[in-house]
Formats: sequence, C-alpha cells, structure tokens
Amino acid sequence: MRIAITGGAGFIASNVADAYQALGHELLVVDDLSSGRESNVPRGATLVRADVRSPAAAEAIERFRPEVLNVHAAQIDVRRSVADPRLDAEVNVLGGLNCVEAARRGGALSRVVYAASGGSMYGDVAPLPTSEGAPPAPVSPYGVSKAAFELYLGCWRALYGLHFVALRYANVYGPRQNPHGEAGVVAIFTDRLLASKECVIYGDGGQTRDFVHVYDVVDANVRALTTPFSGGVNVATGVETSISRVYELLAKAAKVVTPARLAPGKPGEQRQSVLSPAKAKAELGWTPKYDVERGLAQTVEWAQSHQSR
Amino acid sequence: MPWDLDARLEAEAKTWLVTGAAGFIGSHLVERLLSAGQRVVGLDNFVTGFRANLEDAVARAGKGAGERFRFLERDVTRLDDCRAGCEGADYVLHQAALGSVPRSIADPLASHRANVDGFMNMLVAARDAKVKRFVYASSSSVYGDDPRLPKREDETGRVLSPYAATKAINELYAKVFQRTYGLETVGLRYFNVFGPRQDPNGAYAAVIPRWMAALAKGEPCELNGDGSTSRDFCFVANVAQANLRAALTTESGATDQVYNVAVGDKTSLLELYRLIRDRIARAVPKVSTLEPTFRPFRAGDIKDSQADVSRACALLGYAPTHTVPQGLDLAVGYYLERHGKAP
Repeated sequence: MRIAITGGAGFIASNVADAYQALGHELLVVDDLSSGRESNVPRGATLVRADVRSPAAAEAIERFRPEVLNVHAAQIDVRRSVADPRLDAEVNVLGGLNCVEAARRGGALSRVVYAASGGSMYGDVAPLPTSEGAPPAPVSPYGVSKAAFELYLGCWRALYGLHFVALRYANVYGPRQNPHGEAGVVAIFTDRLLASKECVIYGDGGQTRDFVHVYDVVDANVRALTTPFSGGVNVATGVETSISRVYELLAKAAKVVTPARLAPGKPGEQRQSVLSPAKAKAELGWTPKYDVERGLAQTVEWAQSHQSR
Repeated sequence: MPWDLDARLEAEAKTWLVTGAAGFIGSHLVERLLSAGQRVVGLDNFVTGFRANLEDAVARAGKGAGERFRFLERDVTRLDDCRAGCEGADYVLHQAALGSVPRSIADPLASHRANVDGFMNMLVAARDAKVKRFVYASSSSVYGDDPRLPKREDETGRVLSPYAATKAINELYAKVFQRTYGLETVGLRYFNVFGPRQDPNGAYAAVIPRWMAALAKGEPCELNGDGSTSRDFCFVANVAQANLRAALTTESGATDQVYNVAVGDKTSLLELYRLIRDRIARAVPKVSTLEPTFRPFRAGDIKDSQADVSRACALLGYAPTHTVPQGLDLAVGYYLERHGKAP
C-alpha cells in the first residue's frame, strides 16, 4: 500500500514507519524535523521536509496519492499548549485537516490512522481504568486539540465513508523517545541515569500512569491498516505504574543505586491515569507484549547501545 | 421567580463586545443592548454580515443609541483584531462564525479557520483583556447522531458535520480556558433561530427566511425531505434574552457551562411551511394553496431536534417570551416589506 505518514521522523511514527517499510509498503514521510530526526526515517522511504500546516506538505501528499494516511505529526508538549494554545491548535488540528484534505484530493485514500491521546482526552473525572465510552473532557489545550481532530475524522466517516482508526495512546515510551513529550519522564530519567545525573520526581512519586511500550504501539498501527473496526480505541496496558516505580526500574536497569530527589508537585497534575485495553483486544486482537519491567529494561539497553556509538 | 433582567441592565451601563455584530443574531444583540442603555462595540468582517443590519439595529434602538455604539470592521481570524475588540469590554458575546452545515461540508477548512481558530483568538484576547465573562454561540448540531429527545446538555452523540465539530470543539476549549486561565465562559446551544434580518439569500440560507422571501414574491418553496423533519425553532428575542442573562447571572455554577437555547417545542417542516404560508397569504393571496416542492434529505442533517431548556431556566432565569407562531407574526412583516411586490 502507499502510506503517507506525518511526523515519521519522530519517536513513535519512525518506529511505525520501520514496521510499515518491513512489511513492504511504499512510504512517504512528511516531517519538518523540528523535533524528529532524518536518521530515524527508514531507508527507502521518501522524506518531504515540510510543516503539516503548509501548502508544500499538502502538495506532496496529494501527489503521492496515499491509500492510507497515518497522522502522527503534532505539537506534543502539554505545558507548551498551555503557554501557546493557538500554536497547539494550528499544528494539531489545522495541520491534520490540511493533510487529510490533501490525501482525499489525491483520490486513493481509504483510511486514516491517527495518533490520538487517551492520556489527555478523558480528563480526571472518568472512572478508572477509563474505557472509550467516556466523553471527551480534556483539561489542557493539548487534550482539546488531539480530541478535536478525532471529532473531525468522525465527520469524514459520516460524510464520505472514510474509515479511520484513532489509536488513543496511553503514555508511550521506548527507543528514540525525546524527553519533551507526554511520557517524557522515561526518556528524561533514562538520559540522566546514564549520564550519572540526579533525577527529580515532582510530587510524592505516587502519581500513576499507564506506560505502553512503543513496539506495542507499532503493532497497533500495523493492525490499524487492515482492521474492519473504525473509531477510537485505547492503546494501553491497563496497568497503573507510579513514577517512583518507573524510577526504581530504570535505576535498576542502569545499575544506579542513588534515589531520586523529591521536589514539590506541579499544580493541576493528574494523580492517576490508566486506560482499559479491552476494546483493543476485542476489535484489533491487540495485547501488549511488554510489561513495564521488561519494557523499561529494554529502553535502557537501547539507550546504552546508542550512546556508546 | 427569575431575576429581573431589565432592572439589572438599568442599574449599570457596561461595555459589551458583540462579534458577528452585522449578522442576524449579532445585530439583535446590538439592538437589545443599546435599547437597554448599554455601551456596545460591534465587530464584523462583512463576509456573511451586512451593514444594513447594523443600521437597522441602531435605528430601532432609539434616540442616542448611535452614540453608545462603536463599530470595528475587523476579523476574528486575526488575533490583533480580537484584542482591539476586547479592549475595555466587560462582557463578550461571541457570535462571529461561518454558519451552515452544507457550507462546512463544501469547505471545511474555511469553517475551521473562522469557527475554531477565530474562537481561539477571541478566547485568548478576552482572557488577556480580563473581561468579566465570555458568552459564545454554540449549536444544537453538537448533539449529532444521539437520537434521544428532548436534548439534554450532557447527552451528546457523534457529530455529523464539520460545522457541528467546530462547535463541539469550541465547547471543549471554553471549558479548558475557564479551568486553566480563569476566564468565565458560558456556551449557548442555539436551536434553529429565526427572526427579522436573517439572510434569505445564497446557497446556505436557513429555511424560514428562504421560504418567507420566496412566498412574499409569490414563488414556490423547496422542502428538503418529506416534511416530517422537525426542529425546535426559536425566535431571536429569546436568544437575545439568553445571552444577556448568561452574561449577568450571579447564580453559582452558572459558568463553565453550556445551555440549550430554544422554546422546548417541536414543529415539523410541513407544519412550519403552513404557518408561514398562511401568514404570507394574508398579503399575497395567490400563495394560499401553494404546496412545497419536495427534495431529497440533505447530507449531514439530523432528523428531529427538540430541546430541554430546564437548565437555562434554572441557572440563567431564562423564560422564552415568544412561541413559534408569535415569532413568525413578528418576522413576516420584515420579509414582506423587503421581498414582497408592492400592493
């Protein structure tokens, strides 16, 4: 299949691109390299260096005539979205619309796979583990922009029968993650531990998240290419892990014994987050293969082997 | 007993920014506020609004109204224009938007820019100007495919058009702005508003003005669907009341909230057609037996819509003053005057 993938030089989508490439698909990667790296793009894929909001990105996608559009390019920093909600909306909503419209004009589009955000769209009042039926109740501009694009995809399906799979990620971590995104804590701790620098936990460390390994996320993206299911689906483990536990596991893998330093918590930070993976299992046949213990150890190992190069 | 809106307005003159002021609903807000002695700043880019609406509104607001009104020909898709509008404003009534479901299907990016980017600009400008409250126009279209009737605010389905999506997104952003930055917001979900000054022309005109203008000229009307499609049509004076109450209510828990704004009744398109035809027929007798031409259902349209307005009644003290027939009585003259043949 011809697949256009936005943000394909970044953490998650470059891992997805590797898998698509290995399956023999023809790939167009659209990335402005503002946080992605050219070296992440698989050999054989065409890279167009363009901002997803730009006419250049739209033209490249339209000319490529993708059968599938995979949307990963995004402004992913929650704090930045609070500081500049306009920018966040432009990149995440307008940018996405620009690409979908271009792909539709190409004439071959039958499906959109979208990196949605299960971690930020349900807010902090939904029951845990949160399932997909909970109404969107985001608490940050980032959470709104990610949910907004999924709303639009629902319209495209209703109007044009355009199939979409919105993969609502929990906190994704693993190889190639940069420290600035949603689940940046794993990347930050890993970098610092391997550089023998002190790690700081904000709050008491008891706040929990649902950490899902990027290789499992890749598997969901592969299944999303062919599943008859259309709609939003959580990509999560259903397991809560505290930040203290994450530190403990990473430190163990990095063979560090110093504890993290505790600093005052950040106001408004969500205390608990965990998503139900039941629908992903039922609809996509997807189950995570990495528990946090194995996944975090693998992440440290990967970082070590890439640091020493 | 709902609080007295006129007494509250009379007690103190405030400065209100009305965006989309030259549009149908915006111009009624301008008129209502000026009539109540308030200072009003109107903002519009004249993409879908008309200068004549503003002139009509100011003229009808009575003597001295023009001195309390200032107009800015500006565009909400530019942040600086929004800042200029919010300067010195106590309250914002944000109406500017590209309306119409079919328009949004034809050009979703244009609707997105006006309705989402423009909304975001207004939120940012209102936040930075420290306005007291931001009241904005949402839409019954956010109920999407949820079939439950009457519509209650917390029961929404999947949106069916880009226009509906823009309004649903507005509501999400408004909540985040109240919770993150402390800007008080109130969203009003309008249900098929009608009244004088609503534009009858163009591909995206609403049904009531289109039919009124056609019948006033003695021409036949097109009806999409089989006539059983129903709506909770709401006269514009009810909408103006809801806006002012939303801005001024001191009820706790009234902000960070959305409200249905309608009458709470439903009228089928066929019933509506007859109500309009009978009124126009008094001046244009030849339409008295004219039947509509039936056309296919339109993509993205919902079948039935009826509001539960109890939340607005409880928290805003809203009490609709005009039923559909009463509203049509008042609207019909406007269209006969402008589109009817001289007797």
